This record gives sequence, structure tokens and C-alpha cells, in this order.
Amino acid sequence: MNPQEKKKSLKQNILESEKISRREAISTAGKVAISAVVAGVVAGVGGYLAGSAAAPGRTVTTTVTPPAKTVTVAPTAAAIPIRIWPHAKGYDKYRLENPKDVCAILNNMLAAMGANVKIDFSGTVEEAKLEKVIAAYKAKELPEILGAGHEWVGPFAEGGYIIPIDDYIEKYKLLLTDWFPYAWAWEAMRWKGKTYAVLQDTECRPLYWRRDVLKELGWSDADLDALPEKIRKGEWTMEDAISVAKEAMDKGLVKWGFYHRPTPGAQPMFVFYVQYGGKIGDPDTGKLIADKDAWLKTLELFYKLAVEEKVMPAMAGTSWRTVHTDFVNGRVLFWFGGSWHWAEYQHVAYHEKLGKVPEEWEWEHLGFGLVPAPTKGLEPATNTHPWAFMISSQAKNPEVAFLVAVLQTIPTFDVRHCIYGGKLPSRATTYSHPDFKKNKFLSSIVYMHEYTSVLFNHPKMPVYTRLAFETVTSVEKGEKKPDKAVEDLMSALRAEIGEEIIIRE
Amino acid sequence: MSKKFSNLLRGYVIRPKASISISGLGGFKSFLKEKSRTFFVIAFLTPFLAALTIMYGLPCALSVLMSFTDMGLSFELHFLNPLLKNYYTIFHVADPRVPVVAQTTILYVGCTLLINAGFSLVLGVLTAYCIRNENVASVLRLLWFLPRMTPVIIYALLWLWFTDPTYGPLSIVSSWIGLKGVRWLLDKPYSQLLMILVNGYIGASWGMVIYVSSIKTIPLEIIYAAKADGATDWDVIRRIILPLLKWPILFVTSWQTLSLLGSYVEILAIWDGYSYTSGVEVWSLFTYHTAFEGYRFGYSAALAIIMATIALILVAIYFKVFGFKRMLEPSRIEV
Repeated sequence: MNPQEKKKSLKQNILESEKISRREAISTAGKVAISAVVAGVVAGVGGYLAGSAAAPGRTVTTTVTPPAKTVTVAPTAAAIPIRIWPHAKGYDKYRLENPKDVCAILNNMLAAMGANVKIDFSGTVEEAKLEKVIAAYKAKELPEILGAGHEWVGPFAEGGYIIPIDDYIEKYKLLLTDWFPYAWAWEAMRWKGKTYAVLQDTECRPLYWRRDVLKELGWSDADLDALPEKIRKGEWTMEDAISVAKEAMDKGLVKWGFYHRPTPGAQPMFVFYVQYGGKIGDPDTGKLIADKDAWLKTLELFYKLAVEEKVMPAMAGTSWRTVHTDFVNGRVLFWFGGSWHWAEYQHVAYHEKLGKVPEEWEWEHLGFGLVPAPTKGLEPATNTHPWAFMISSQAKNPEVAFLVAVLQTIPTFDVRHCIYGGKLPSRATTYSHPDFKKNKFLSSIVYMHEYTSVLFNHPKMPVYTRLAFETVTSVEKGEKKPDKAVEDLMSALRAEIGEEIIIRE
Repeated sequence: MSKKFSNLLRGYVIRPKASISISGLGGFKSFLKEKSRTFFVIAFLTPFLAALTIMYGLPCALSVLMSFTDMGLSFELHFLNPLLKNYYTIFHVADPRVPVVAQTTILYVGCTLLINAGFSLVLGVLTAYCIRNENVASVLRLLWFLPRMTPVIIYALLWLWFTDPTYGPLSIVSSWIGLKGVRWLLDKPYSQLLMILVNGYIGASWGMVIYVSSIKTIPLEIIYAAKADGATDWDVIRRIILPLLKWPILFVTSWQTLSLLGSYVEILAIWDGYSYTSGVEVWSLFTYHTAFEGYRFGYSAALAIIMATIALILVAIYFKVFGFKRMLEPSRIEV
């Protein structure tokens, strides 16, 4: 072997002896990766802790030099931005159209006065959802008006995303003299004693029934027409409804006596709870309330409906389409629905033969009234979910934003939203608007507002609603008796809501 | 710097023991050439390590911090007193839902793992070895892959329709086999069985693909030689294929365990609103509900950290049971 070859061979031997196996390389790579991640974690923790100490403030002095000469130019109109996220999808399109038209009218007024200012309106159909609000707030891009269910007033107020508007309400009280006459309308817009939102619309949750099925049980037209008033007076209760439902099922006229919503929500659980004397929240402390006795009676009623009398199935897991299809096709006698379903059945094809049903068909086949009192001596009731227009804390001109939110509720605008969306108005004067009076259904259910309740404005209200629904489901399945179920509910409320709920025995 | 680490950086190139005389440009060029592989490896790993740190490391650090606070909708870190209060709540069972959720999670992970790691092995062996016709095998693999390719919401909707108490095919078939009136979404243990099947149907395909790929790399000569020696198909599977699949089995089992511990999307999409009462509220879903319904971000961070810790412990156990260290040593079989 020559020296060159010897050197090459020696080098190869060294190479071979120092070569690491693939497995060793992967193992070492893994250790490198883990070390890098750990280093990153330590750097992240250390960086956060180091940066969390407040930096000392510093004063910056800026000297502004006035221009050397004055040049006169035509002034451009100052723009007041009004941006809105109202949730204006589908039938709620006027939640966007109404503020837009208000701003257009205001701009015309300002131009007529020669004012060098205009409102720059922009909006989307989107709702002010929490994650969007947080992201926009961090980017300092929060719109002026946020539209969401009233239950978000509490969370948004706690997070500092919206501002109280009591001062503006006082300043412009002349614009609000014909406001909704019931106390809950403003209560639903408050959080810890301050008002944060303007009521944009409301609705109600009646009990629907099949007139045609009741006729087959021997009810006359006069009986059917008198039923809503009898319910209102407390003369016809849930006990009566249960016995009628049982009769209809026994005769094979319907598959089920009652349906309720298959997902967590207010009705009928919280309607029964309020009827039994339960309170949902304490306005003074801002805490939720669970009255154990009222929940026990509510659960006993559900147990009677589903397990003892078997007139209602366990509803969780049933699709919404099945619920509406079964009711519209006469397979269910009573349905704890919402006022917007009246319009929905006209626009969505649930009927197996007719598809979308005309309103004349609805008047002939469906009836509606308050949720009857559980027993004699108690009151009928319903529930509502008001929609709120809140003024954000990053509004460039919050007073103008407040005015736009209030002006879009005047009857001319309010009635468009009510008719198109099947909603009830914010103002009492809208009831007497000619277009509203022409709408027979909406005019027929306005009285229900006198008997309505709202869920409480609290960030943990969705938890309360879900736990209540789960408990009702366990009772409907027959898995738990009401006394055990109510104990589990109280225990779960304590664990998941903690100090923010008052449990009353 | 350890010998192994320096060798890793150099790859298969060793720094020559003989000294190099660096003289002028020629020496610098040979220095660069020598170090280029090292730079290449560092450059290759850096994006991955950076992404790992930013996407996992920093959020992990934040979660640890959050778990010591009562962070809510204000998104402020108010440290608890005592600092470990959230952990006390969990371990001292001050939250009555924790034991139920833990039991559900053990049932869910244990049973679904049998499908995702076990049944997928059966599928892999069947479609890679037993079924000789590659077209038939491909079609079978595709059928099993369909749930994984389907968007989650569509998949959940299909199951909701399939299990509808009135019109669902499952409810109709159940009535034929003496299970009339069973509500598959609501009634335990049927709802829990459904939860396992829903997730197992998705998870089996992933393991199947890994196993099929691994089986395809086994040299056919070994199998021919075994057949020539009189081995049956079962002997080949038991004595050749399965032993050579030890590494993929460890990988799939570990991966699926971690994946199942953190999975909740399908359960949320199907059982939203009544998961607890249906007995399908697993730990990760409970964590999600606590954070995004209850806005208790601090408490949910503690739940998440416990889950992550249990996952790491399980992986360490797997490594021990499967002999991870032994698997890293050079193969004793000349292949």
C-alpha cells in the first residue's frame, strides 16, 4: 500500500470510528429539540416576568412651530365615523339598514345647515362576538356600536369594552318618553347599576298549539279563540294542558304532547322557574341566584311531563329540523316556541306537502298564548331575549353613536325591523304605527310583554343555562329523580359559578 | 460540547485529526467547505425549532402562568393565594364534575386507543399483506380514510342524522335488534359507545396508513424465505411482520394517546349542550367549557396542564414498555 493509499485508509478508519449511527443522530436531535423548547419556555417566563414591571413614565416635550405663512384652503368636511356590528343576517337586515338610514338623514340635515361635518357610516352584518370584540379592542379598532344579546352587557362591561350611557339617557330623555313601558326593558341593558345599552328589539316565547288537533278532540272555534285569554287569567294551567295532551296521544292524534327546545336556553325551564317564584339574578350585587325550591318544583314538572305522564320525550339530541317538522306536520300538540317561528314557518319548507305554509294556513291550524301557569294560583308567563346596541369604549364620538342607536328605534324605522324580522319593538309608540297594526300576529302577542321575564346579565349566565338544561335532560331521561337532580344542580352551580351565584334554599 | 452533539452537527463528516494548515484563501475555502454541512444542519433545524418554540413553547409557558391565577374576562394575571389553589380544587375534588370527567376520559382514551392503535394494526396487516389485490386494498383504505377527509362539522351532522331518535337509521336498526327506545345520544352506555365509535372511525385510518407503509418496507425476500420454510400467513404475521412493526406500534400508540387526550371537537359538535349528562364530557372538553363558556381561563389552564403532564407520563411509560432505548441501538438483523 503506497503512502497515499495508507493516508486514505487511515482517514477512512478515523471516519468510520467517529461516525455515529442514525439512531444516535435522531436521539441527539430529539435532545436538541427538547432543550430548545425548554430554553424557549424559560425565556418566555423570564421575559414576561421582567417585562411585567411597569416602565417608568417619561415626559416628552414637543415644540410645534407655527407655519411661516397662512394659506387659505377650502376646508374639508370633518368626518364622524359610525361603525356598527349589529348582527343583521337574514330577517334582521334592518338592524343595519335602520342605523344607515338614520345616518343618511342626519347627513342631509347637516348639509342643509351648511355644517362642515358628516357622519361616515359603515357596518357589517356580523354580530359583536366576544373574540372579535377582544381582537378589535386590542387593535384599537372597536366599532362605535356593538349589537349582541343583552346577556353580553355584563361581560363586555366587565372587560371595559363598552361605556355606561346614563348621562346620555338623561341628556336626551325627551327622545325616550315613549320608551318600552316595562321595567325589564332597561334592566336587561344594565350591569351593576349602570346602563350600558339601548334596547334594539325584543320578542317573546309563546306556547303554540295545533288548533286542528284540539278540534278533533271536540274543541269548538269559540273554545279555541278563548283559550289565550283563559291562559292569561290563570284559568287554564299546565295541568289542563297535560291532560289534553294525554288524551290526544291516547287517541293516536299526535305522536307527542309537548316539545321544547333541544338545546340550552331560557324557555321553558327558566319560565317555569320564574313562575314558581325563582329569581335569576340580583341587580344590586350583580350575582346570579338559584332558588332551590323553585328548581325542585320545575324539575318535578318536567319529571311529570316526561316520565310520569310520558307526554314529552327527552328533547336533547333531537334536531331543530325534526322539532319544527313534527310540529308543522301535526305530530306534536304543544310546542314551547318563539314568536319568530311564525315567520319562519312561512319562509322555510317544513310542511311535508305544502312546503312553506302561508300565513292563512297558520291562523287556521296554529294557536298561541302565554306559557300557562303550572298550577292554579300561579301566573302565566313567557320569556324574552332583548337585543342590545352597546356603545363601545373606543367610539370616536360616543354621543353621536348613542344618538344613532336611539334614533334608529323611532317607529318609522322600528316598524320595518319588526315586520320583516318578526320581532317586537323597542318603543310603545310603534304599536300604534299603521304598518304594525296591520300585522295581526305581532299585534296579537304584544300583551305578552306584561308577563315576560329576561335572563340575567351576567358572564356566567350561559353556564347557568347549560347546567339547568343538563339537569332537566337527566330528569327527562328518567336517570335522576327531581330531588337528586336538584342537589346535583346546586352542587354543579357552586362548583362552576362559585361566589358569583347565591344559592337560596 | 458532547461528542454526540458535535458529531450531529458535523453529520457524517469528521474533523480530521491531522491539523490543517490554513494558508490564505485556499485554507479559508476548505474551512468553509468543512463547516458547510454544519451550517446546513443548523439552518435546516432552525425554522422547525423556532416554530416549535413560538407555537408550543411560549403558549405552554403562558398556560403554566395562567394556571396560578384566576384569570377571567379581564384577561389580567392575578396570582392566587395560595398559588396552587386551582390544583387544590382539582385534586381535592372540590369540583364534583372532575371525578366523573376523569372516569369518562379514561374510558374514552382506553377504548378508542384499542381501535386507533389496535384495530388500525389489523386493518394495516389486512390491506398490506392479506389482501393480495392492490386495487381492493386501496379501495378499503380509501373507505376508512373518508371520515378523516370529511370536515368535522359535516361528519358530526352525518352522525346526528344517523342517530336521530325519530328518523335516524341507527334508531331504526336498534328497534330491530331489541334496543327500541334507546337514545344513542343521550343514554349511557350507548352514548359512550357512540363516542368511541365516532372517534375510532376517524382515528383508525391514520394508524392504518403508518402500518401499511411500514409493512411495505419489509423486504419480500424474508417473507419468501419463510414461506419456503413452510410458514403460514399467520406465522408470517406473528413472527415477521409484528416484531418488525415494534417501532411503528410504539409511535402510533404514543401519538394516538396524546391525540385522544386532547381531542374533543367531534364530541363538542355532536353533543353540544348535553355532553355531561350523556356521559361523554371528557377532560379536554371540560377544559374547553370551563374556558370558553365559564370564562375561567386560570382554572382551565390548570386542567390543561394536568392533562399535558399525564400525557407526558404515559409517553414515558410507553417508551419504557416498548424498550425505546433498545430500539435506538443498531439493528441486530442485517436487512
